[in-house]
Order: sequence, then C-alpha cells, then structure tokens
Amino acid sequence: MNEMVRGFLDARLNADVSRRRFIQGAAGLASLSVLGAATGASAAETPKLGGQLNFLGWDGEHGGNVAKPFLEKNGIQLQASFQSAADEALTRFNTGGRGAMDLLTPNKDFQRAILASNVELFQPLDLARIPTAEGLFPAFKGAPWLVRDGKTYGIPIIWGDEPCVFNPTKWDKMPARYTDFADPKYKGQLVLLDDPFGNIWLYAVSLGMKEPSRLTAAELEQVIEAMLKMKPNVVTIGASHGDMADVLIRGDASIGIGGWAYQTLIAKEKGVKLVVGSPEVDGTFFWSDAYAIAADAPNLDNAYAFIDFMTSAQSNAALAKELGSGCTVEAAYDLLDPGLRDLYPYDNVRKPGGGILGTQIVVPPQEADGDVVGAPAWVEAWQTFKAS
Amino acid sequence: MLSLFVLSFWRAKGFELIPDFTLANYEKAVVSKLYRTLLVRTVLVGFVTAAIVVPIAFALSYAMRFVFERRGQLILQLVLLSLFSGYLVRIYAWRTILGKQGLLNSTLQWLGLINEPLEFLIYSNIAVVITLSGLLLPLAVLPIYSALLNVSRDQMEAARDLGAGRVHLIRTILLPLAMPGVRTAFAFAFLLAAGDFVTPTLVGGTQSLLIGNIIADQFRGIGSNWPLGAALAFVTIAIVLVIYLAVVQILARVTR
Amino acid sequence: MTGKRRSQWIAGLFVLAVLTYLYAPIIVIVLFSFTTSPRLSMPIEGLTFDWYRSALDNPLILSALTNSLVLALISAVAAGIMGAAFSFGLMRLKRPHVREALIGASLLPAIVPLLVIGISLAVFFRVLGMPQGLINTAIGHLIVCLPFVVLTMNARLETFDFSMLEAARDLGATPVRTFLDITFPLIRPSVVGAALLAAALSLDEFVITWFNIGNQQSVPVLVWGMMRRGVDPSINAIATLLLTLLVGLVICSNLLGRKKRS
Repeated sequence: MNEMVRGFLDARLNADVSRRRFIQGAAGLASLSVLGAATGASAAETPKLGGQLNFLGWDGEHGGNVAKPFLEKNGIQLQASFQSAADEALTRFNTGGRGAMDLLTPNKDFQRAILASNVELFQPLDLARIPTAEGLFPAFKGAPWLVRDGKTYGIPIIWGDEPCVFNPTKWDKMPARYTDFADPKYKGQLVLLDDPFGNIWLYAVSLGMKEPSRLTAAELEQVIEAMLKMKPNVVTIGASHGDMADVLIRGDASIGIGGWAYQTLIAKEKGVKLVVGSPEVDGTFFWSDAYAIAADAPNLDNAYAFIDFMTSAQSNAALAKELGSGCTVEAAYDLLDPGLRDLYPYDNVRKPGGGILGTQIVVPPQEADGDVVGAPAWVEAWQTFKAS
Repeated sequence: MLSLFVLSFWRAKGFELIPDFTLANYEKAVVSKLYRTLLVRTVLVGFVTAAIVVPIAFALSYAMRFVFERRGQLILQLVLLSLFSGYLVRIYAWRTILGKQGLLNSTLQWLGLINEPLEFLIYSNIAVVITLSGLLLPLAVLPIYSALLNVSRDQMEAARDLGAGRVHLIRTILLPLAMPGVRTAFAFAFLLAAGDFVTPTLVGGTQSLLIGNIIADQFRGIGSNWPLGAALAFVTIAIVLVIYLAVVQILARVTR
Repeated sequence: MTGKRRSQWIAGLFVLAVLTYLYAPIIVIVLFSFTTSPRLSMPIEGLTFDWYRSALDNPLILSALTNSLVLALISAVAAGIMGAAFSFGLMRLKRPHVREALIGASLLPAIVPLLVIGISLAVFFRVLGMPQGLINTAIGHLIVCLPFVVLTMNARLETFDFSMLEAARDLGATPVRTFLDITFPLIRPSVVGAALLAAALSLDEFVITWFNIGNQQSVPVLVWGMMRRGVDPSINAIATLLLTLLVGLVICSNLLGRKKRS
C-alpha cells in the first residue's frame, strides 16, 4: 500500500525541489528510492546510430515522410506515439515511461511551465551535437521558454498562431473583437477548441485586460461572463484541431475560433475552401513546438542525430509545408512556397529573444500568486463555461 | 485504486501533489453547483440510454429465442459483430449520418418531409443518446439472450395451455427467469453510458458535457488537479452504484 | 397458424429495424472506405482503393493493427476462460450473500473511470518494475473485460438447471466428461458471445492502453493521436479490414461447428 502511495507521490513529485519539500513535510515516507539518479549524457566520441528511437509528441512532428530517408539510411526504427494534450509526456514519464522515452515535442507554454517549476522531464541539450541549430531564426536561438540557467532544453520545429478559420462563402471577414461573436447573427456558426487557456486568454485581451495571463478572480469571472454571451452561438467544442476542422469541413459550423492554418490545408485536400483571419483589433496568440530529449533517454545518439537532421533547412521547410506551419530555420524560409510564407508574420522571429513569442505568455501561473489566480482556477472556469 | 482513494484526500499545487488529509476535494465535488449539474445530467443520460437500450434488447432477445429459435444465434452473432468496427470510428460515422448535411437530413429533405435540416440531430443530447444506445445495445442483448436460454419452450407452452395471457406469461414466467440478464443489461447500459466521455465530446453539443469529461480534464493538461479528479470519480462511482442498486431492488420487487 | 405467421412478420421487421440501427454507421464506414470523396459526407463521387493503400503504407498503422489483434485475442481467450471459470465458482458458493457481494465486487472495474484504472495500473507496474508494453496493456484489458464476461456468464448460470449435471454424475460420468459433453455445449453461445465481447472491448480500449503500452501503438491510440491533424478515410479502411477479418473468423467457426455436429 505504502509503495503505491509512494509511486503516486513520485508521479507528481519528481522535481528535486518538491521532493525535498515533501520529505520535510512527511517524515514517515522519507525514503523515495524509486527514482534513479539522473545519468548525465555520456557523449560518445563517435556516435553509433541505429536501433530504436522513441517519440512521444504531436502527430506529424515525428516527420513521417520527411525523416524516412534518414531513418532508413541509419537503420533507426522510429517508434512514434502521439499525444492529445501537452502534458501527456509528463504523465507518461512519471507513470513508468522514464528511461524508455527519447524524443518529445513540447509546446512553448508547456515547456516554459515545466522549466519554471523545476519539474524533471527534459535534459539539457548539447548544442555541439546539433550543428544545424545554428541556422535557426534569431528569435529561436536561446529563446526564453527554452532556456534555464544558461542551458538550452529545446530546438524549435515549427511555429504559428491560432487565428479564426472560417468559410469564405459565408463570411467576408471576422469582426473586430472576440466579444463581437456574441452577436446573434453568429448563431449555429461557431466551433471552439477545447483549450481553457487559449480561449480565456483571447477574451481577456478582448476585454482590454492588461496582463491577460495574470487574472484576478474577479477578472476571470468577467471573462467567463463575456464568453457565456457568445455561447448560444456555439455549435460544439472540438476535441482537437483536427476534430474542429472536421466540423468546419462538414459544414456543421462556419467559423472556428482559436484555429490552425493547417486546417485550411486539410479542407483544401477535401475540396472545401476555408481561410484564416483574426479579429482585427484583438489579434491572436502565437505558439511554437520544439524537439526536446527526455531525461534518462536510452537512445541519445539517435535522438541527437534525428534532431540535427530535422533542423536542416530542407527538412524544416518540408515539415513546415506538411503541417501548414511556420518554419524555424532561416534558410528554410527561402525554400517555402510564397503562399506559405505569407501565412505568418516572419518579422517577429527575426528579432532576437523570441519576438512576440517570447513576450507573449498565454498560460497562467501554476499556482495562485497573490491576487492572481493559478491554472486550476482557469480550468475550473473553463469547465463552468463548457457545462453551462 | 486504493492509492487513488488516498490521493483524493490530498491537495494539488502546481505540478506537485501535497499529501494531506483534506475533505476539501469531496466538499467541492458535492457542493459545487458545476459538478452537481453535471452529475445530474450524467445520471439522466445514463438512465435514458438504459431505458431505451434494455427494452429493445429484451424484445430482440425474445424474438431471437422464441420466434426465430435456431436462427436466433445467427442474429446474435450479427448483433455482436457490429461491435467490431471501432468505437471512435463508429462515433464519427454517426456524425456523418446525423450532421446538418448528413445522410439522415439530406434523405429527409430529398423526400420532401422537411425543408430545413433538423439541427437538433447533431451536437445535442439527442445525438449523444442515439449514439450511445447504438454502441451499447449489443452489450445489453448478450446477457438477456443468455438468460432467456434458460427458459424452455415447454415451460412457455405449458403456461399458455393453462390459459395464461401473453402479458401475464411474460410477467410471471419470463421476467423472473430473465431477471439476471435484464439486471446485467441495465448495468452495462447505465454504467457505461454514465462513464463515457468520448461520445459527448464528439457528437455532443454545448449542453452535453458529462462528469466523465470533467474527470478526464482533471487528469490531463496544465492546471489539472489529480486529487479533485479522484474525489469526483469516487463521488460519481458512489452515486451511480446507489442508483444502480435501487433500480435492481425495484426491478426485483416488480417481478416478484 | 396465421397468427403465428403474423407474429413472425412483426418480429422479423423489428429485428430488421434494430439491425439497421446497429449497422447504419458500419455501412457508412465501409462505404466511405471505398469512395474518393474524402469529406466523409455525401455525395459520393467515385470509387477507390487509395485509402487502403495509404493505410497499409503507413508502418505505424500496420504495427498498431498487429498489436490490437494480439491484445484482442489475448483478451478474448483469457477473459473468456477466466470469466467462465469464475462464474462457475460463484455458482458453487452456497451462501447467496457472499455470492452477491462477489458479483458486485467484480462489477467494480466496469464503473471506475478507465482513466483511474489506467493511471493506477501504470503506477502499480512501475512500482513492480515492469516496463510499459504489451504485457501490461494486456493485463489492463483483462481487468476491463472480465466484469463483462462474468456478468454475462452469470446471467446464463444464475437460472441454469444444475440438476442436469448431477444426473450425469449419478450416471457415472467424470466431471471432465460432464463438462465437455453436457455443460459446455449448453453454455457455448454465452461463452463464445462473452469472448467476442471481450475482444471487441479490447479493440476499442484506448485510455488504459495509452498509459500502459509505452512506445507501442494500438489502433484506437493511434486514431486518437491522429485526431490533432484530422481523421481521413484511411481510418475507415482500417475499421473495414478489422471487421472483414472478424466476420471471416465467425463464418469459419460457424462452418466448423456445423461440420462437427453433422
């Protein structure tokens, strides 16, 4: 029984800091021996490739077609599994996946939160083993969400924003503000994404709140009130971007809020025209996914070689094209079709420090901070919105 | 299981769990209006689904056993085989059937029965119940049919020869013998419908959220709260079990 | 006789209606696995095998399919045997209260949210030091399938006429003979049905699988993960392949069964 409790503890208490704090609190369960000490990366001088490489991340970022020649040439067998929520990697890591996981593809805000909270999941990267990372846009080199204590924990793969995706035969353009979607003319037209943070953040911006990721309880309530005014117009809440695209393509709704430009590509393949466009005044927010290596990864050489291959200009451009997203490598930009180049504001990623991606924080703090409520309060507020 | 029970008394803080003995999670699960609304809705959906599934399953099993006799087994296999097309894929197929421009709506429009598509068919609680009933019916048929195998034709004939009417026959002979099957069928339909969270996600609308969705939310994503999720799960289990046992008692009394 | 005719007609129509309800989504799945309209909606434009090609071209889908079939087979056989044995054991219990309690207890895994079971198991296996993979997943599936098998068998056995078995034994039949010659043929439809049920549940299970299968794939886990980029008709192709395979199996077992009997 105690073993089980301890297992659960570990599942959530992996960080050294929190472990220490826990031990102070509960002397009875003092010896947590399940975890092995983190073994440092013993970089072999001539890395031997081949064998297995485990991937847990977003579908598509395992590079299905793009990575094929690389994997075949080096005799690497890629075992890919896909996540449907950002923190599934952490859950699996802590429920027995540790030591059997190599490559992860965290998104910007999740990685920022993990690094900030000192929870163990990623290992610092040896940039000397990823020479192609030199070619990243300035914004992605040492971007604030990837770095802790001067060490880099991720190599960005793609980036983009979450615009409205709509059917141009029904609408010419989106209203100026998200709050305008409460207009009854949108009845039966809207589909949302099941994401507490993106939606609440957008409405906080729309209501003119200064720090949309740091809301007080009263502000959060105000946001939910504003969202509830739009709710009668919502048809359904999509489980994922793909699911949302499916609703739009079938014609069951005509506007997706918090969408993905990739959805227009899926639609095109299926003979339906969808376009992107965000409320002019409120705009939208940006995201980026990065390759990261799990702590205690068993196939380190393969993982480094894979990241290095995928960060080359050709691979990066091919992946950006396949996923309808922004490329992260400067030389890849020249390889993109003009249509794809225009999808995203690239001037942002040419600035060092992450540009807008670096300054814009969409996810609230993990715990309440003075008046500012933490992430669980946002989740609960979102549930209230979904349920009412 | 036990460890999750212990967990439900803890607190969550950031990405960490703090061991504690607090009833706060349970208090929240019971007192919060949000969770109460969802629990009531979940029980209702489970109940309506079971109320549709069990009678259909009984009638079907009756026909298989006493009208079609030997061929009944073939029908049983057909019913069970419908399970093998994948739950996720089948839910998606229901979207194709029930959608605004779906098969049902376009057929009805083509027949001239309706002018505008019936919008309540999809992304609604009706869609959830239709889909869930389709998914759970095969599971309910098997136990009822199995139980009816214990009722011999001779028993039925004998009762009929004694002048028993059909309704009387079903009530006094058939139902008592089929009771274990009906009870099991009700358990499958009610419990599984109340526990599902994928169907409401995919074909439900903005009023279809069930407690299962909320429990799932508490275990994944930034800002998740495992202790609260565990407490919600145990409250749900307790309520669902109580209702199930109550229904079983009532059914037993009716047929006695 | 006309009365009987009529009731047969009504029953036939009813069965047909129910089967239509059950098979409507399946017809949609099979239909759209062969059509060029990638939208999964009407109208149907043309016929194609492309979805099968793209499904079979994808190494992930192939390994997922194999894993799913292995898990389903293990679940069907193991849950079928264990469930039936457990139910028989229950029937032998003299005290009805103990029996009721045990049946209630075996129900529990069916009510506890799969997520809770999945996470508990994952943590449990970690404490035992068992690496994530198919074995852990198969154990998880077994836990999920067993209540359904036990309850189904229980429905068959609770009002089962056990005096028949005693009669056979009085005539000098060994327990093994009694079981093979009398009991099993009688309960065969329920056991086979329950095993099929277990296989179907296993094929659909993705929550427990996700937490325990590690770096492997199963069909529902893959489909769920692929939803971020949207589902395409190759998923219908996979479902159709699975269905065809199982229909084939059931037809074969029927033919075999008939041969044996005649």
